[in-house]
Amino acid sequence: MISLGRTAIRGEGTEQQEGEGLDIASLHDRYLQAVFTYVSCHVSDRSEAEDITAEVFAAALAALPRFRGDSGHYAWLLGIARRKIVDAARRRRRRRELLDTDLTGAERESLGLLLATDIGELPEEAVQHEEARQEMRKLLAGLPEAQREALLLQVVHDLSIREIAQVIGRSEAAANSLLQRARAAIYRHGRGYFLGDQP
Amino acid sequence: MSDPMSEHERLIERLERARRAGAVASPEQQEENLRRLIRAAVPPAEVPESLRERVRALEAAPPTPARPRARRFLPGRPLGWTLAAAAVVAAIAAPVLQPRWVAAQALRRMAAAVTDARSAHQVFWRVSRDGRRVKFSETWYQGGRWRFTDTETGRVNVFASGKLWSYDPKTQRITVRRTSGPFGYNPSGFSLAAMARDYARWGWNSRIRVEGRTRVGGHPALQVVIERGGDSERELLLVDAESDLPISSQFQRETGGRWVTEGIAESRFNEPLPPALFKPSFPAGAKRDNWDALREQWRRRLGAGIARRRIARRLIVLRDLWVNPKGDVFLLYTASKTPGGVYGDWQVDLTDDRGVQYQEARGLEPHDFVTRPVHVEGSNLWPGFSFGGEKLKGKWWVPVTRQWPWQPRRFTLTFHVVPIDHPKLPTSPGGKTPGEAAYTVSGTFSRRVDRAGSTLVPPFMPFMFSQMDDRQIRREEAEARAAYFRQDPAQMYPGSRRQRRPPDLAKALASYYEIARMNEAQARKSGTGPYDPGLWTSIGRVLYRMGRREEARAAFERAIRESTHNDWSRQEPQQLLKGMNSVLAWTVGRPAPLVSGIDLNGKSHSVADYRGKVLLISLWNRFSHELPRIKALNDRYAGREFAVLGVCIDINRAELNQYVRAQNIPWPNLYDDKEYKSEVGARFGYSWDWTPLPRTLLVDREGIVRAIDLHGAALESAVARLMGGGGSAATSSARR
Repeated sequence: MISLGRTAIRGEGTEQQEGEGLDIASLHDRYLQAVFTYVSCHVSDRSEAEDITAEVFAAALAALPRFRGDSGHYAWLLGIARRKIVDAARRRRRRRELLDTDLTGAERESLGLLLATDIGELPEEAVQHEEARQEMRKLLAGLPEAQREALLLQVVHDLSIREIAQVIGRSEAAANSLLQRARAAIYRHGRGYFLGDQP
Repeated sequence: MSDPMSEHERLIERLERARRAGAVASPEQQEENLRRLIRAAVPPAEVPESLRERVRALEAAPPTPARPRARRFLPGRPLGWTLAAAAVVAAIAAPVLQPRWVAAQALRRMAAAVTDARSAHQVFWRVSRDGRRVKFSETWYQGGRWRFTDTETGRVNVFASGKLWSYDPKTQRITVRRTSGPFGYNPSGFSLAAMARDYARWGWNSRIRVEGRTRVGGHPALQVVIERGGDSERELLLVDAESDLPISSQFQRETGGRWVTEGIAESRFNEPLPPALFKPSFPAGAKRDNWDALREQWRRRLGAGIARRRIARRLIVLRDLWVNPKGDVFLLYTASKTPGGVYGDWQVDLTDDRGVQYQEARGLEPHDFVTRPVHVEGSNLWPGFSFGGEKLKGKWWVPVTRQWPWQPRRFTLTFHVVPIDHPKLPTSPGGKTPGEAAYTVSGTFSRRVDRAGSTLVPPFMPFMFSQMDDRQIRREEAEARAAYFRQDPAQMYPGSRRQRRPPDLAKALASYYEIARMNEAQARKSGTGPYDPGLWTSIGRVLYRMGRREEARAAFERAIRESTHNDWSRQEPQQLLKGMNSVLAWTVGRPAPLVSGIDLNGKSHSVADYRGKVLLISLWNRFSHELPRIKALNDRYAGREFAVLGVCIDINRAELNQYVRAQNIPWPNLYDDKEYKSEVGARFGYSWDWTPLPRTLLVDREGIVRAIDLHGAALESAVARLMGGGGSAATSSARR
């Protein structure tokens, strides 16, 4: 199970609906890993990621009585996390980017093949292979920050477009547009760049 | 032999083959591939157990009750040694900002706890000149609660649940007050990052730089310097590279070209501290004061006032009149001046029916210098009193002669006010222009006081911004007496209605030396200092006026040495010293300095060019000059061995050019656009502080200075003597 968030919650066998009353204990039981993953994506320093995650839950605890339930707890927590990450970034000027951005030609080609070729089911070892992961990370890192964030929220954190819009503080239409542009960019850089012209 | 081709490369090759065979993924398949690849690239992060513990610990922290947000004010005082001490405290401080609601309080407290240290213990030592370490203060912090002790006075402060308890063993009193944090400025964290953020937020303009790396107890550490440009104080920190928390600090001062450590702080973090430390338990016999209740009592009392009257359209309300055992009179009042209005367009004079002379002291103008309430995030500065939108004002008078024992008397307070508080109208009562003078209306209050108070410090002082103690009161008294005897025209209020008397510089000096002795005693006690540049600047000014130039020079040099910051406290004596040197370069009977300058037409002129002629140097500006008389001299001796050289200390070249043309001034005028900081002026003995304009310098044919500052008829006759070939010209200086 790679996807976090809701899927992971279901995986743990908790059936409580999003938006229902929740105490802080169950909040961190369920979402700690997902929030930590989200923060780790944005913060290279592990101990700082831990600090920010703890801050997120501290803030969540304080704000829990005011939680209106119009978004799920998960999107709400990620929204808090996002603000904390921005605060932390302001505090520490610019941090070193987690992901390198420059893809070599060979990497583009291999990613393009991984994305665009149908060989039945792409084997799990191909997906999990370190080189493939590196290439995908570089490709993601090459995206504008807002696009990357929206795409990761959708794919990794399994959020709906509405929830993504809440987390990143934009309209649903804007979130949708970010996602489309992110995909287009990935295909363009991966497949399109080397394979697009081929028959 | 192993296959050089990796598993990944084999897969790619396989994909390429499939692709060549036309196996292109459908859009759905592509999307699925994309999702799988992204998820694989961003796997779930493994949560360390320490983080789980930290988050679980959040559940246990109880919230505290909500309180209203308070207004805060920005102080205008410089950073001194005391603030350096506050900065130490800042280094281990955490945020306890005013909450709007319970949750915000909980959030901030916990956020602080998790982003920085959860507990801290810091000890601060003062290092005396002989290298002795004396424990100065000790601070503990845990979970938003504080305890700090002042080892010298034995004072203990405990901050918990939005309340600050202060216990003074000397008076056996405990003061309790509600506050947003234990300090004037409440730091947002313990780490270096928090420190940098806070300093920026408070506008302290400190520069924090990493000097190098080292190891402390096997751990990597950063060597950090905190300084402010030009200051002779700095802080050296050792910061744990991993936690970003300070391990130790040294407070240094530059003395005689080298840095001397005057304070040391050592910190320990995240060690459990006994909860009893943060309990406000003090000796049973101590009296308990509720600061908030007392402040409210004072607010009501001052709100009611003791006397009120209208003077023109201004309502003047006396709020409190109090006399201390030495006869100092403290007045609190409002004068229909909004908190935003800072310039006092009124003046208050005090007399009594015993004929005592009073001199106004500084220091009782609560928040006068704040143009509007300024909220500085993280600061917790005492808000002043205001009544109906008017800011409370204070005056403090010191009797020039000793009043011991103090006798009951009737005081007369005379208010001279500009009737309407309006920014466009003249502001100084009794000013020089007729308009201003006509605009002043006076009214008096008469109050009898039968008993003096028992303490030097007025009882309302705890609620004032200027938290003066006995020592400061005594210092200000001496300073006020010195000002009275000094009668320095530069220090006099321009519109002062008080009678001018001849100054008594010897008495002024004696008062200043009394302060110097007080400072020395304090320095002996504390082992550092004394640092009082303002005092030595004043002493230098008085000595200069007494003609004791070398002593004046030494006093200014001492003021520069004692100044800690590169602000006015250092710049003023520097400027005075520089000016003094300029002025003293021109001495009657000595050769004139062979200085030069560029005139308004760009032509260079040097004193040396005029050798063989009688040279009259006229320092002037458009507002202070004696053109007609100098023109007459110039005409009278035209074609003979006489020359005039002008030096302009003016503010505008274009207007000056126009003026010179309109007035048809025939002689060259040196000018350098530097206004009152004129460098060419300085070369010709001008100093903004020391030499009023116009000024004349008379140099004979041999290049010897024959007269300085002669004006009018005296100047004419001096020139006549020199032109007549007589060798004995005027050798004394005299004002017109």
